[in-house]
Amino acid sequence: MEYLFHLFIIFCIFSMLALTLNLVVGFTGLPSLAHAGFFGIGAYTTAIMTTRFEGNFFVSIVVGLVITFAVAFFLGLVLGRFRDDYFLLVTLAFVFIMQRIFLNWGEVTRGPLGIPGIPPPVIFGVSLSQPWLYALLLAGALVLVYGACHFLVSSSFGRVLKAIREDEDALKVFGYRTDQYKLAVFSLSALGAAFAGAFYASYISFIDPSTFTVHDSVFIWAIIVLGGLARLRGSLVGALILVVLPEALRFVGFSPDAAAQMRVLIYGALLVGMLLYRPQGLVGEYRL
Amino acid sequence: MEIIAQIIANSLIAGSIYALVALSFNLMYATGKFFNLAIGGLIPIGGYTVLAVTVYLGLPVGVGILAGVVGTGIAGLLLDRLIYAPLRKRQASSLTLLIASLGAFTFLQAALALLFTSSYQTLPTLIDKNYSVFGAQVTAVQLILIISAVACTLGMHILLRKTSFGTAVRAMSDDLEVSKIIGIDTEKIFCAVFFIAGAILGYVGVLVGFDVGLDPLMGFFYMVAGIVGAIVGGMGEVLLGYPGSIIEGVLHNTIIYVYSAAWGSPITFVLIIIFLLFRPRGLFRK
Repeated sequence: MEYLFHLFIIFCIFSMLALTLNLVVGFTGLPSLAHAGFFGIGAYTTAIMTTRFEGNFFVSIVVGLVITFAVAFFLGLVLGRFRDDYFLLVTLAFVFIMQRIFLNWGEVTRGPLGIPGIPPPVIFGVSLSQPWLYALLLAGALVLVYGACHFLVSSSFGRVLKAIREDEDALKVFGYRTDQYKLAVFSLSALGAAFAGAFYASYISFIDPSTFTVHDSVFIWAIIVLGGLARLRGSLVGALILVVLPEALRFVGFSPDAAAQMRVLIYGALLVGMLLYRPQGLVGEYRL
Repeated sequence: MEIIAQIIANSLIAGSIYALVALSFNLMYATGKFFNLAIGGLIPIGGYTVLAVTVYLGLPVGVGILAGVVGTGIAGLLLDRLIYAPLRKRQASSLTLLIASLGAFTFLQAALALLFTSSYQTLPTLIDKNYSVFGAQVTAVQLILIISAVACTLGMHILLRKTSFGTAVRAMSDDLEVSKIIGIDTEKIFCAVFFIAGAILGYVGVLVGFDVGLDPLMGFFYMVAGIVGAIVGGMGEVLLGYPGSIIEGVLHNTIIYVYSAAWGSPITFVLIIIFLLFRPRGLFRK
């Protein structure tokens, strides 16, 4: 039973990452790999604040969101000058730079050693160390993120995003400041990643730089491509499949390290396979 | 004086690695018109093949190096046949090809980690010799790297200018559709291009393996650095990737010397992104 709660919590975290990445990639058509970097900022902020300063978990979320917003806003300004492949390359460089910051800024992040002993959140004096309590909190967080994403894409703002994806230049002719829309959606989506990162850190209780690499961005990409771009429900389906499916490897008898690599192998292959044979995803409407 | 010579030597060594990657990248970009990020997965294949052939099978080093170069070439060719060619046929966007190549990168790296474990490994010493040039210490492998980058770039230039294969590549680089219409067997050229590009990456993996050792993640940095070198020189300009990469190497090693080794590569990338904001088409093109 505890194992099921564990799977559910991981599913919730990656669903939040996938939903918010889908806003940028699926709805707006901006090919960003930056998500792992924002995920890392959220996770590290919570880890540092709750271990070193014994800060409150929820306060650390807010601080993480503020930092992430500032970083994403600045990166978004730079990205406004790039399109398509170059856009992706700059986000790739961003993930690389963030990774180096997590790795090299030893005084703050403890470098390759990582940060152990991140405490679970405490609400009204109750520590959420019980898996089912934590699962409940995560379910609430996922509903919140899903609701926010749903609200965004079904508003007029969301319609402009889709129009940017289809024909940005035409939209500019109609007087829309598309760069501001892109900057807004990019920054908002980064907030979602940082939010997920805070929960990830406090749940796993140990983080190190190896969790926030470009492969984690590729993993989130695999989820949204599998589920279908520009479909919120698709991201949930994709996250469910990609979180649960590799768990089967545990029962086949791979060692933990080999199982981790098999997982990476599977989603890499799955991403390629989807693009080759079903680019619209399982329930998607838009294809790359 | 000695320190300056050493910085120049280190810049040349690093720049030469980037230049070889940039050469391979530009060749694929010129014909296929997409960013092939599988580069990061192809580079370590060369090094690991040497490890498998010489250490595990006990065959001579020469055989291992040849197997590393040819094997990675075949891997590059297979990627094109299995993934990129079907996508091209469906007229998928360059972004789709890019994302697919990213999936391939992830796949290859995980496959190498499964086969050879993800821990750091070294290759046996190739040539145990050090040279002193104006006070700068350079190993034999590093010297081979520096010479190879120049030789491969010039060789590629001659190949593209003097042979019918080169003419076909340049035609495809200008316009793929027209190339097909005038009767160039573009798929055959793609096979050759991806084999050659893969072989160059394998060669990089072999030399870097001998120089600093192997781990499955090693390709990522060299990939980003090589693509950046190609962009600084001008995308798809096969010859200009070399100066672009050397400039990047000088920048990188200067930062390492004046500031710190750990922050050398991130600061280099930040500076180059800023540079790209002002000159998106590279240093040498208007």
